[in-house]
Amino acid sequence: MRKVSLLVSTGNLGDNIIEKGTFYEGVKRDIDYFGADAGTADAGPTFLGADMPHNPIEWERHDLEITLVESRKKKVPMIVGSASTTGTDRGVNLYADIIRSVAKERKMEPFTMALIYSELSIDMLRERVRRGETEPLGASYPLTDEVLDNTTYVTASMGIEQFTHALEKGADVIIAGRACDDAVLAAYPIFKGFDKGISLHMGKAAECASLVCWPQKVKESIIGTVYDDYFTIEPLHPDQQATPHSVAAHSMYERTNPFVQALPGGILDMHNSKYEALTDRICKVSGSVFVPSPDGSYKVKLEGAGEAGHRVYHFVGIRDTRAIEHLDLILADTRKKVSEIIGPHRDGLYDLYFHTYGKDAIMKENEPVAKTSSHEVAIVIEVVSKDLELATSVAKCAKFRFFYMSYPGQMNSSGGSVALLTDEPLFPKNKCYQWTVDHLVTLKDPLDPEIFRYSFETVSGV
Amino acid sequence: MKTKNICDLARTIRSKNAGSFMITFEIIFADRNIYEKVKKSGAITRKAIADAYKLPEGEIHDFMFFDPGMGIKGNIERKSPSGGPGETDVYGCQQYAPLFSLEIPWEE
Repeated sequence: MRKVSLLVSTGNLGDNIIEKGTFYEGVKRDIDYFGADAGTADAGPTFLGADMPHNPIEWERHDLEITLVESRKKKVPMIVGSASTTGTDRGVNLYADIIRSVAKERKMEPFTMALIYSELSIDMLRERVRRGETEPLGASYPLTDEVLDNTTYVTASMGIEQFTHALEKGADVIIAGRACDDAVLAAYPIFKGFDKGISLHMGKAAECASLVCWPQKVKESIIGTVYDDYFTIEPLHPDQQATPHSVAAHSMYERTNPFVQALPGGILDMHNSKYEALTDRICKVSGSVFVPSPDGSYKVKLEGAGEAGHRVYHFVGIRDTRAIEHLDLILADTRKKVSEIIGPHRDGLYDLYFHTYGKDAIMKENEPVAKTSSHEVAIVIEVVSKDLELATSVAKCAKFRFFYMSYPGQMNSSGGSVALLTDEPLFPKNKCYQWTVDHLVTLKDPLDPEIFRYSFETVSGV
Repeated sequence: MKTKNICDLARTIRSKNAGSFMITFEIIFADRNIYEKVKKSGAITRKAIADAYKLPEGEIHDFMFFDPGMGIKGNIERKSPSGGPGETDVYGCQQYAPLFSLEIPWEE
C-alpha cells in the first residue's frame, strides 16, 4: 500500500528543545520527510512588531541541527515553516544561516535549500488595499492607510502551493516565512499525489507533535502517515497513546471551530471525519475533505503588528481591608486625580490601566465575581504613551495618589498602599506593540512574486 | 433534583487564544456515557455559558457540542487583540474559570 510518513518532533521549533530520546527512536523508522512549524502569534505582537527573535538562538540551532543531520543522512526532505516564530525575512535569513553553518561544520554533501520569503512591503500592500483586494479576517475593521501607518511588519501565511512549488524545483530543505502550520506538514504528501483533505488533516493533527496524544507531553516525536484514503498518528513515547478521542479533541485546540479549517484556496472540512483505533496506540482518521473555495478565489492571511508607544509599569499593594472594601471608589478617584494633575487636555495622549490582582486583573470586564473577598490586593499600574516622559509622570502620579488615597472609614493618615520593589517605575526593555493587521488578501496567482519570493541555493560542506 | 458540578464530570476545562482576536474555551469529557448524559441533560447551552460569564448570550460565538472529541466549545471575542496595551492574559489561558460554576442535573 502506498504511503508517506512524517516525523514531527515539535509544535514550535526552537521554543524549548526537541526531546532527543523519541526523536532518535523515530529516526530508526521508515521516514519519508521531516517537518516542523516554528510559528505562533500566541507570544504576542512584540516579536513581529519589533522584528526580534522570540527564542534563544541556541534552541533554534539545536532543533534545526538534529533535524538537518538526520534528514540529510536519509536523503529525505526537511520542511520548516514560520522561521523564528514570526516568519519575517529576518527569521528566514537566521534559519538559513544556521543551516549553512551546520552543513559546513558537519562537512555535508551538497543539497538544495529553498528559502521562501513572505514578508510584505507595506507600500505594496497599500496599493492592494486601494485596489480593494483586502478584507478583515480576525480584525473587526477594514485595512486602511491609517492602520498601515501604525504597522511596522506584515507577513503573509503561505499554504500548500508555495511549498509544492519549492519541492517541484528540487528543494531538499525548505526554510519558509510565515506559513499555515498544517500546510507545512501536508505539502509533501500532496506533492507526492496524496489526497489534499487527508494530508491537510494529518498536518493539522500533527502540528503540535506529541500534544495530540495522551497523556500530554511536549516536544516528543510522533509519526504521521498518509495513505490513499486515511492517515494515522503514532506516538514514539512509550507512555503515550494516540486515541480516536485524543486526536479528535486536538482539533478543538486553539481553534474556534473543530469541524472546519480555512487555508488559502479553500477549507478542510472535518464534518465527516471518522476517528478509529487502529491499535491501542495508533489512531486512524478518514473522511476529511478539502473543499476549494466556491468562487475559486485564493485568499491569504496577513498578519501585522506595530508600535503602540512606550510602556511603563508601577506596582502597589494594599493590605488595609477597609480600603479594599472601597476599592472601586479608590480606583475611580485615583484615575480622576491623575487626569486632574497631568491635565485633562492630555487625557488622549496616554492610556492608563489598573490591573487589580485579587479583584479582576485576569478577566477584566468578563470577571463574573463582582466583589473581592481577598484581604490584600496588588495593583499593576500600566501606562502606554508615545511620550516616554509623560508615561513616566502618569505612572508616578498614579502610584503617589494610591499612597494618599482617601475613603470612608479610613484609619491611616497616609500610606494607604505600599510601593513594591522600588519607588521608581519599571521600564520594560521593549516598547509596547499591538496586532494591527489580521486580514485576507486575494491573490490572482498563488505564487504572486510580490508576496512570495523564492531563493534557491546549493549548500555544501565539502 | 440532585446536581453534579462540571468539574466532577469533565476531564479538561481550558481556554486559549484562537488567533489574536478570539478566546476559545472547551470542556472535554473522558467518558462517552458521561458526555452523552451531560449533552442530553440540556443544562449546557449557549445561554448557560453566557450566564456563567455574566455576558449577553450573543457574545458567546460558535457554541457547539463536538461529538468526536467529546467536547463542548464556545468562543468570546477579545476586547482588544492579544498582547497589546492593557493586556493581562496574553495567551487567553485563564479565561475558563467561570465555567466551574456549571451544575448538571444528575441522578446516579
